[in-house]
Amino acid sequence: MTEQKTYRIGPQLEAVAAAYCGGNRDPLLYRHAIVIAQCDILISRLRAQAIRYADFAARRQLFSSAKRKSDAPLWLEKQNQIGKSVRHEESNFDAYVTALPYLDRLARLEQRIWLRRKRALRWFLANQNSLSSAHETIGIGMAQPSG
Amino acid sequence: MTEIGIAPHGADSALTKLMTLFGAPPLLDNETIDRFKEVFSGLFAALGPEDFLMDSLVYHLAIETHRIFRLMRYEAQLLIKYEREQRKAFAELSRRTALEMGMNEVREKYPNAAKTDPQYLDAIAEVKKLAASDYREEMDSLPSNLDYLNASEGCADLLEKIELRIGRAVKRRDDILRQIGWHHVALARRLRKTSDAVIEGLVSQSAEEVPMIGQRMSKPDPIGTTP
Repeated sequence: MTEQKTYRIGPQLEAVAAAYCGGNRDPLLYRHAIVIAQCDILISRLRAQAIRYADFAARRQLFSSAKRKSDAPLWLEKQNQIGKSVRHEESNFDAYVTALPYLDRLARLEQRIWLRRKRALRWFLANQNSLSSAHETIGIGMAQPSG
Repeated sequence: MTEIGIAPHGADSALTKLMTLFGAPPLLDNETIDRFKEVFSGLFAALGPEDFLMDSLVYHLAIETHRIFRLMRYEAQLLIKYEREQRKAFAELSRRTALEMGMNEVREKYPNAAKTDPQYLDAIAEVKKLAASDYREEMDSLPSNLDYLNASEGCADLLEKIELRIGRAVKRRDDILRQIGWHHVALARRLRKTSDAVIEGLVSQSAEEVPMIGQRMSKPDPIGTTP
């Protein structure tokens, strides 16, 4: 007899899935909620990774430009102080262009996870409706008229 | 039946909950959380989410919208950068041309002057001053639409790349809006079922209280008009 593996679900995942179910502990619904939650967390991590990489590239760009301009005269330094925010935006843009291939790879991955989430959401909504009609048939949890 | 929790809650509390569960929204160093909050609050007010699922969809929608804004900003930044570079190159060219022409004129005017001749030196200084003012004038002038058009031709490949990403982000945003539509349809179905049950219950209750027509007719006539 083969021993069945038991998988542990992280507390964060559980919390998100429980929030999606909104108090309903139906196992079928919960399973889809877990998939959606997993996708959500993966997507948020990928987004964070993309931002971290873009920020890293921007900082590297700023550092190299600062190194180049270390011998700049005082008037240029003053001008740079004025246009600091503009330069920051520019360096962010330059960093974005540098990081494009890596960001594209992350975006492709995100897209794939997003599709999985979409599919799970479809099932989740369909199950929510079918469960409500099934419960209606057997009279569980229906709002009974008062009086 | 699943609980239909239509509980009005604020955008701030929803965002705090989402940030606790999913982490902070993806913002660059030069972006502030306040701007993102503004976007989220606007979408939250427009869509009026009913439950956590809808909250999360609004959150994703806000992230995609913010990303589109960022990419659009980059597009403008790219055009500004290229236009400035082109203008700088043009200004440099006009400065050189002015300097060359001026120097030719000075040489024609003072063909046999020594290099230390004060008149000759003054003329050269004048020419340099004119060239520098030409350069400054060119750099200080406001860019026209035509300048930006020329710039867009210069950076067309990079613009195309950004446009592609904007298109993808818009597609993702449309996809989220479609999912919100599914959610609304599913919620409407569930609500209809609930309201149908309530109406059915009330109807059956009132049917018990009101006597049937046949029952009323079978009662004895108090006036005695019936034969």
